Amino acid sequence: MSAGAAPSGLGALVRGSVVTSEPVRKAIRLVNYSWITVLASLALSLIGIYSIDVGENLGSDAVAAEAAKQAVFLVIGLIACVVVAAPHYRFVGLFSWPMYIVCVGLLVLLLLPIVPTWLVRPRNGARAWINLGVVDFQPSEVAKIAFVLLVSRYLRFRSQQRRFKGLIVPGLFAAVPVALITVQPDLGTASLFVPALFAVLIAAGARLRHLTLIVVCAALAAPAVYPFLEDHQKTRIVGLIKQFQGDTTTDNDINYQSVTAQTLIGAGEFTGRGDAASRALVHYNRLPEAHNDMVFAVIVNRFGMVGGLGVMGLYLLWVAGAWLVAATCRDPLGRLIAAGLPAFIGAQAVINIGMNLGVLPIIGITLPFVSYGGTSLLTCWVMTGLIVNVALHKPRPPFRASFEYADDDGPDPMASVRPYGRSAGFSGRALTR
Amino acid sequence: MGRIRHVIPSMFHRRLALLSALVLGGFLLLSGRLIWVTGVKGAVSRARAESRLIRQAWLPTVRGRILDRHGRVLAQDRPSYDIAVSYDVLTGAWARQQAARFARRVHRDAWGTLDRSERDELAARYTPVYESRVERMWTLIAQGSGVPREDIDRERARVVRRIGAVQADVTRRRAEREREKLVEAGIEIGPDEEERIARAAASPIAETLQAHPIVRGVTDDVGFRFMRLAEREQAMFLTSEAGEAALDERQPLLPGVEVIDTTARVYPFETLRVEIDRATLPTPIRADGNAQIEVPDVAGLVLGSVRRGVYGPDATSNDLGDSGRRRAALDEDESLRDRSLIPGVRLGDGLLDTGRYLDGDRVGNSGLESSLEHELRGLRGVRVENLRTRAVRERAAIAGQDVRLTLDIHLQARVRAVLDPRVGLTRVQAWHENHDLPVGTELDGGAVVLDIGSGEILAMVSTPTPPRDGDWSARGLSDEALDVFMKVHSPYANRAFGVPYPPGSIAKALILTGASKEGVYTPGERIEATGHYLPNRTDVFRSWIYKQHGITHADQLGRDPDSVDALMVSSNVFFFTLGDRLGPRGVSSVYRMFGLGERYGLGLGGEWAGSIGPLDGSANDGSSLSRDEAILLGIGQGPVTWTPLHAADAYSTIARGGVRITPTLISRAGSAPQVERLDIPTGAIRDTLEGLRLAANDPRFGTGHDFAVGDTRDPVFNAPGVTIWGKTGTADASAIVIDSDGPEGPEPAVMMRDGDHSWYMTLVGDEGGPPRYAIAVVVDYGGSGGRVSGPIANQIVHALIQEGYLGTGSANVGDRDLGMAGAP
Repeated sequence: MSAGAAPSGLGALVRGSVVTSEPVRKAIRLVNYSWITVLASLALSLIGIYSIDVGENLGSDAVAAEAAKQAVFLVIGLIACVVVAAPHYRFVGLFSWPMYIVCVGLLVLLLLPIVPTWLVRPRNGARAWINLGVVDFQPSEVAKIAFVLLVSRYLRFRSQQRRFKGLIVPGLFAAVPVALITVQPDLGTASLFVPALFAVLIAAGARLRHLTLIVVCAALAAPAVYPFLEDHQKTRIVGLIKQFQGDTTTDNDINYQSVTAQTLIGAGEFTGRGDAASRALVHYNRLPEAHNDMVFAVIVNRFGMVGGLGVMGLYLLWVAGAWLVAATCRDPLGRLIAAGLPAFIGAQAVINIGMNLGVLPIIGITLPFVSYGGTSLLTCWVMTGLIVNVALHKPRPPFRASFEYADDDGPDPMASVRPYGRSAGFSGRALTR
Repeated sequence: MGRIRHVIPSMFHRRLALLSALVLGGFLLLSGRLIWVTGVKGAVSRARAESRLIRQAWLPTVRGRILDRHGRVLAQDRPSYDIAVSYDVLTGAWARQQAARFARRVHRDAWGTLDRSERDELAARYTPVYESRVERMWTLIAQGSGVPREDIDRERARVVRRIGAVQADVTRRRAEREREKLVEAGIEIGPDEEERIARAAASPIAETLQAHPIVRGVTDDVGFRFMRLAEREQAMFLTSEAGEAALDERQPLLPGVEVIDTTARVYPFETLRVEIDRATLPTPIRADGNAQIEVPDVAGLVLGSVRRGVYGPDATSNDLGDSGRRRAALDEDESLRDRSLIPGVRLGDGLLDTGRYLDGDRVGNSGLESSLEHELRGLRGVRVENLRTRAVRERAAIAGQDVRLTLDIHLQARVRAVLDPRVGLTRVQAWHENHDLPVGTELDGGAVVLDIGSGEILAMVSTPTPPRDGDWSARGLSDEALDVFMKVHSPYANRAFGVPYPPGSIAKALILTGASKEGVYTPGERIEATGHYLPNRTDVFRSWIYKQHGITHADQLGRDPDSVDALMVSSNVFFFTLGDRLGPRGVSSVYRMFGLGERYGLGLGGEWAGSIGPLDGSANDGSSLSRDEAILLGIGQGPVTWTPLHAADAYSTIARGGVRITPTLISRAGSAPQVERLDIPTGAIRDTLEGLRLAANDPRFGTGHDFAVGDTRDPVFNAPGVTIWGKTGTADASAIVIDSDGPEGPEPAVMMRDGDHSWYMTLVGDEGGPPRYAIAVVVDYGGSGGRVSGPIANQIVHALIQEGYLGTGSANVGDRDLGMAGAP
């Protein structure tokens, strides 16, 4: 996009404003923290393609079909990333309500019994996919993005989240998709919305004591939910407890997946086994879901503890990059978007890796960027694109430095520390960006 | 808090820091867990994971053979394998299941959305490929085993039909039982219950999950070839619906095939046909031509049998069970101990025990198969294959050791035939003059043939011989009658060395030589023949001639007998005198000198050591004997027991001039026999042998020379070209009484057997030569030694001649098959 030469419509889109005539080149900052996130995404995706091949391909010369498909989706994801990063995020934010409503509608559609099966095909007992002919599309993934956009947009100029009652509406925004997804049933994906909501609320200045209270109540109420769980979910929790107790009798049935994953992880030792050895180990140990849920076990088996720590480090980099973007962004919408999206990535990674290591029960959650799955990979790259988006574009007026509240002490907890309208930078430096 | 606010003034940034800390904390915990799993548990996990890459198979071992003295194979393994195929392959279910599995994998994305019929349709597309693999497997089996394809197909259909019928029957009965239970519990049976019953009843029976033999009894090279093939996998190429080629790598080359080891133990000389020249039998049963006897279970008691299935340790006794005994034997065996424990091949494996028993292994059950189990068994081999590198390491199996016996199986068969009631010598005959049993009663007996020069046992027979497979039904006895049979005949006791017998007059030769050695008898001394030993008592301690005919031996001979005479006429008073002179301690020491009280350690177990006084052998030194009992022991009666093996051994010692050589059954290379010199005066030996020679050869006075048949007298021995020394014995035996309902019951006790045991002890050599073989024969409750056991001994001498041990050219006794047909 060269200065001034771009068609005004497109330029305005990128600039984020139809008012200024600043050259596009000046309206964006190419050097920013989001590159950390992009590089981390790329590294994880490539590791993912390789690991899928290791897990599924014993030694033939052809690459595993799943790995090839994943590579195709990577390319599509990169394109999507660029497309999403181009227009200013305030324009993207304009679509947050429609997008949310469409997603909720699709989620409802998934559950309606009158919907024909050619449109919604149950997979493993879960009604989570819509058949678009060429490809299957998972609304719950898009719902994640829609949710973060909506909550961010809703809270960007508000301050009632500082009150307890102000938490209700954001909670509802989360509760609707959570409930619809849980009924699919896909408890794993639904549970990811909670950390994302909390991340946005925390970043938006909700009082910590309120949030702590909610968490404690939920923790106390959790055992009461147990009887309502489905059988297979109960089985997995029982299996985890047995593992902690050192009971190995169920190692061959309900705990098979977890134990095999841990065995393969342990077998990786420090630097992992070589390429051929790793393929053989994964194959002959019959690791289930080697290409999606358990791909972390494949990575550690191949690259050892070093590889496992490296992958965790990459996720930390992704999250750090995104939050650095949030930290250096002055715009409230941008801040919340950049604060909320990493919660999905981070929580999903933590839960999946915890599952592979036997710390958490087997929940059907995949590893973002790494596991096989077209919609999932695409969604992750769209999230990356949004982070790039926030980092790339300068905030447009009117804006104020938001979410700078005095904390719980002080005469007026609602008072903003920063005066309205006048955005003083840190240490008194005036902001020009 | 304040400090943080000072360092990070912006609340938003503080909040971001908080979120970062939370995520960082989560990842730190996971890192810790990762380090623990890979570091602390890494080696163990690696061992476990890599153990899946290794396939370990046991290689079978071959059980050692048992050979006779001429190298004839008496017991050996006949390797045999069955090729079994699992039920789901037989019915075609396997092909369908694999096709479904493959279809699901290929159409992974859409599989969950399809319904039953669509899934079946997809699977049906791939089923033919799997069926063709099964078809190829049948072809391979037919080619490899040489069995025609139609036979295989027929057997397959038969198995499927049979098991299908059994499953249907079991399902029906289960459903009925379930219904009955519900009805009894008063529960109404609605559609839900019906469904539940149907589901529970239809659960598959064990046979549907097993492999079933389709081709039986293939040789071991075919068996091994199929074992290798059954381990191999071969990839199958299939094309999916979208035209993509897909690889199904994990399919076995021979689906569902198992090779089952059905190696059998065969006994080639188990049944032999023996010809007996009827012209050499006693006159009443003499005939022209040969009698042909098919002799079953030759040496069956000695060889024993093998069973499949290993017994565990017995909680109530000290019995370690088969595995425990095996382990103990291996630990003591220096040559095998270290070879039996080899390091395991997978990380974390302990030592592999190649000597151990696995389920279904064969173990010796009785006889030498059992007592020599450790030598015969051998060690398994191990074959380890690394699935990834395809490297194979093998540790070959170590075959069991062969065991060579001193027995001559042909001679054994001949002796067994002689003792068979069909020949007639072990049936009560008129000339036996048996007043206790009716004519025609079958008599049991035992015989031992010893080679004097080496002490080796050439034949050792006990009748009746139990069938090796333990199946008594051929006798056609009811359970009660079989019970009585067992009590009366004790077929599992080996009369040759395992049953206590009173020696009777056989012992006199020992008493004579022993008394000479002890110095209580001087050579040539004549002892007055009074007819009864105690001057005032005419009812005890009497000579047989006095008891039967009222005369004394002095009357018979015209002189008082010296030692030679006394043996020739078997004078009781003479030997009462010697027994009295020796006294309890002395007479016991004489018996013991010749081996009574010892077990020979033949290697079979079950030996009767012999006893003086109490049967447990605790007073073999004679400490429990009274003077009267010592006197009786002088003629081999009273509280003394031994076995035919002891008799043959003792007489062999005398024949060697007082040199004891322990009899052996198993020839062990490099081991010399135990020799002991008894220092018996040569004069005593000479006189004893002369007395024995006269006893068998003197037509007027020798008690063992002939017996009455009607008005004539039949000579006991009629074999040409041999010299015989012999001694008869008629030993008083305790009765066998059966009281079926116990002493208090109304039914009276029935006396099944009573009378005397009949002994004939023979030494035989070539004409003009020294004694070379000792033959001990005892017939239970037969009565007179000369009449009953004598003719049997005669037939055994004939057998020795026929087998080349005696007679012209007998110096080379080789493996000559002299008209004997057997089942190989």
